[in-house]
Amino acid sequence: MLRDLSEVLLDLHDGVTAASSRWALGVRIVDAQMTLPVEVRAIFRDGGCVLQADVLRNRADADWLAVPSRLAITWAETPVEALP
Amino acid sequence: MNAGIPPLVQDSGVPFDVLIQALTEQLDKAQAAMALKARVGKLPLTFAVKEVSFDLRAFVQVIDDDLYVRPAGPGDSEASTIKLALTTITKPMIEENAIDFKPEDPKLSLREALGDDKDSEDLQRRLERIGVRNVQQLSELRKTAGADVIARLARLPVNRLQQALMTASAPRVTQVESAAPHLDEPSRVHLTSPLLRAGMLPRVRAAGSMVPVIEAQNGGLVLAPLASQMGCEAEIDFGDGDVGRVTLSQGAIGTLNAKGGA
Repeated sequence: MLRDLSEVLLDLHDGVTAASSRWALGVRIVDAQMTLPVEVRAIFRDGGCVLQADVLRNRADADWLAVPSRLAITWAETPVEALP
Repeated sequence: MNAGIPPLVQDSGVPFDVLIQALTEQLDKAQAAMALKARVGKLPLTFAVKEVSFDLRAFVQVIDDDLYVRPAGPGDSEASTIKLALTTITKPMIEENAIDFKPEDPKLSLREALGDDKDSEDLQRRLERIGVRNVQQLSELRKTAGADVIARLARLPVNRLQQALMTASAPRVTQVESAAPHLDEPSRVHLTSPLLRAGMLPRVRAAGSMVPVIEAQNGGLVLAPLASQMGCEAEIDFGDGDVGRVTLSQGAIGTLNAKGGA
């Protein structure tokens, strides 16, 4: 079941934040890079186009897509006040 | 193909610019939610998306000179790969480039000029997608780019846009200050039009003679017509070939004829 891409990104963000908070011994994550195979589709909703996506969750999903799309994200630790 | 996708999207996909817009909308939405979460949690630091690159497996076709893209679904093979790379912009960059909403005069809003029926709302949304948020911007863009370019970018029929441009730029009477009977002072008529500029005095005629202009500012004009000119149709020559017509009475909405084409 595909979801809005923003929801997937928020889940990934939660993952990085949780991983970062586990490092409490003087080492912390400042950058993280993820390269993920994803399934993507564009749908029309609320008078506009919405991009939906999700990571492939199991081998069965991957078998359906000959070569899946690939999403690479670089996360960087940023002061909250610098965020838009 | 996926049975859950409407047939039109399934067959040809979506225009490429619409797809890019949908992608950036999702990224903006995610960034806003992440920032909100960090602010609510009173965190000094958080993780933000710095760069995104997307190798999108998709089928590409050209329909009527427009590039359409349909992301590959399960079972599709031999799709093309579109490589997209996006980076985030910083808060100072946004502040430098963003439109300042606060000083926007409600008289010059698209909603005020085009009306708030469903058709106008759609027109307004399409114009906002290309960055046109008020009548002033629409009017300036018409001068610099032309109506056909705006229509193509906003995906609007040219005649619909021209009609909207005429409606939006037409002069309107917003206020009539009646002269006091015992004083020998003329009435004052306040007009608005996005074509009016401070420092550019338009020529106004009514009932065969000139109407004195006593104040000209951006988007507004104050006239002091003679009593015999009140209620008559005034012709306003904005310069650059644009001529508007409006009756000098309270609440009148005029028309605009662009001699040079819209």
